[in-house]
Amino acid sequence: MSIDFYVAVITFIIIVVYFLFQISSIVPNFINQIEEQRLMSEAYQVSEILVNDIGQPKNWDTLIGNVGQISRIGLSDQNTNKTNLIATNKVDALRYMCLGQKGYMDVKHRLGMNELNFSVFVVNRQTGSIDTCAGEDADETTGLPRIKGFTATVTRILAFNDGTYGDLKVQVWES
Amino acid sequence: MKGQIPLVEVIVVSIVLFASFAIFFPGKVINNGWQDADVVLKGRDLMVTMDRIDKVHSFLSNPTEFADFMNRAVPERNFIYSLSVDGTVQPVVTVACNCTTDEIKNLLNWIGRVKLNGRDIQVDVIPTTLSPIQDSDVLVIWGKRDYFDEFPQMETDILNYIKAGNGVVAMANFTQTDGPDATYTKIFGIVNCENLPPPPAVPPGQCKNAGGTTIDFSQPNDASDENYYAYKFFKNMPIRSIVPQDTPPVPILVEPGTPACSEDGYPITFMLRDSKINYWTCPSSGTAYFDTNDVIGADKIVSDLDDFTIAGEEVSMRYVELNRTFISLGDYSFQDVTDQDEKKTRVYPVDGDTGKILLYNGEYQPGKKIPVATVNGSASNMAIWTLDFYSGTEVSHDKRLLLQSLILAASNKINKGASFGNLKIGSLTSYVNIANRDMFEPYKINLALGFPF
Repeated sequence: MSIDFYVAVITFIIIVVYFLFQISSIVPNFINQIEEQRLMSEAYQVSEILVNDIGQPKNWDTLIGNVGQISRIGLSDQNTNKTNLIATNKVDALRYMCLGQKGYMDVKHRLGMNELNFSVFVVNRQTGSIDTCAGEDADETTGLPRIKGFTATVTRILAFNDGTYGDLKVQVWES
Repeated sequence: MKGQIPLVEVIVVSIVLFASFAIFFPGKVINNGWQDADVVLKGRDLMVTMDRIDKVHSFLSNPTEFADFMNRAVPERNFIYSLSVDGTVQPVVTVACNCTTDEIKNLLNWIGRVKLNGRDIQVDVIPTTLSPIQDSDVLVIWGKRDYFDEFPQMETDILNYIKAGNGVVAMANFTQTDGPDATYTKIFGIVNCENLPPPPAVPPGQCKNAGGTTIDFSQPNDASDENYYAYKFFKNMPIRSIVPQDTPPVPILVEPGTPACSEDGYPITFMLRDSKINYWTCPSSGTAYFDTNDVIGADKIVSDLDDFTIAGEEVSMRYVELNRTFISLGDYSFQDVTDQDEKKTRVYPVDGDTGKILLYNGEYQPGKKIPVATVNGSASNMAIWTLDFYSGTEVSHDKRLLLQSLILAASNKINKGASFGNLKIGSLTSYVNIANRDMFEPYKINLALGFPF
């Protein structure tokens, strides 16, 4: 074996290793992007259910003492049944229902979020009131997970049925 | 030579590998589109929310209130936005008036502030020549013009102005020797009745003075009649009457049996035909105290949306404010104010279409109304001619309402505001809405949102 053969083999190996590293850095990036898109999609769907669905049953806000009867949570005002118009009593009911980790898990299951964690902030931009629903792994002030990672955030602007307006922020992240 | 071959091979293979890598794994940034989607979603949510809090209409005329809403609802600082309306009267209507300075002052005094369906509309009046015409929404030609044949460019400019979606209102009296010329015919669709093209809608010799004592509206059969839009505006729009400037509040005298206003009120005079009706706004109750019988003092208290009778006419109080009110007249007839000289020569729609006649003063013969105001064209390119009721005399509120209706009906209904141009991300959300407090008013509101960088 001549020296030039070894040089050629080593050069070839270096190039192949370089390409392997390149590919190994690109693939996770793509996977992350796909995962982020999935989380964004989940966050949007949860926001859509909360803002534009009345829940099941429609008077679920009167049943928080018997959570088993509640199938789905939606904040839309069932009396007017209009998009982007939510009922303040349902916001209150969501906050009460979400108290403690057990309450949070109850809400989580009724939003179909079994594999993901989330937080919901409902802010009235006229009165300044803030209603929150978040689990133990979320920061109480921001609603963001304590362990840093990608968090999908969707903010919906809406009106309350008392004539005021505000927004609803849904944040979703991997468990 | 023997050792160089593998090196050349390695170099060739490396180049091939790099090229393959570039093809199969192009180094690109993935744009997932969520930021664009977020802007579109925000636009839709904002628009619907404005509707839910019942503010769509009032935001159009109140930019400060709209800005406050946007700043609260969308706290992002680098977000820019604008709101515009299409299909109805613009929040600011620019009237280009081919008239004197005094006439501009009168126009501003009579119709400078309008309120329709709870929305404040500002009417700005600017002077203009007829060639070129100042950028505006409607052109008012006050008085008969006799020089169109000398300056043909004027006719071209006016026709182009109308074609661009603007309207023209001409206030001109015609006499036996000075009737509508070819330009008036082309723009306003009217001709001296004696000169109607064959077969004449009114036979020659029958275009005579008529004995009408009132000027009445020719009611449209349906919305396809060209007079429909102007008629609708007059029938539903209120006219403003204001407290004279620097007038202090005064005690309101009331007739026995009429509840008193707990504080001093502001005096206003409303002129209907030749009648002057005095009344006062009562700030504490938001009502107006009317003296309908001219005895002692106020005998009738009205508030927003009350129908009542003054000077024998059914009217409707639309808005009572501290120092101004807005009253609509509904079905109405004007006093005949045309003089005998003007009656000698009358006009008629050149195509014989009676749906163009808005106001008439008697008939040439049964079914052939004598026009006092005509409408030529649709809502988006309207040319209105009316007799000049407005020169030389004190102009009553019914005539002001007529002029206001004609000008606003003819005005451009498409927003001419600057567009956003090239934004990094932007979206335009449109929403069709209806207002119906005073007048059925469908319109399209456009919310533009975007990030400039």
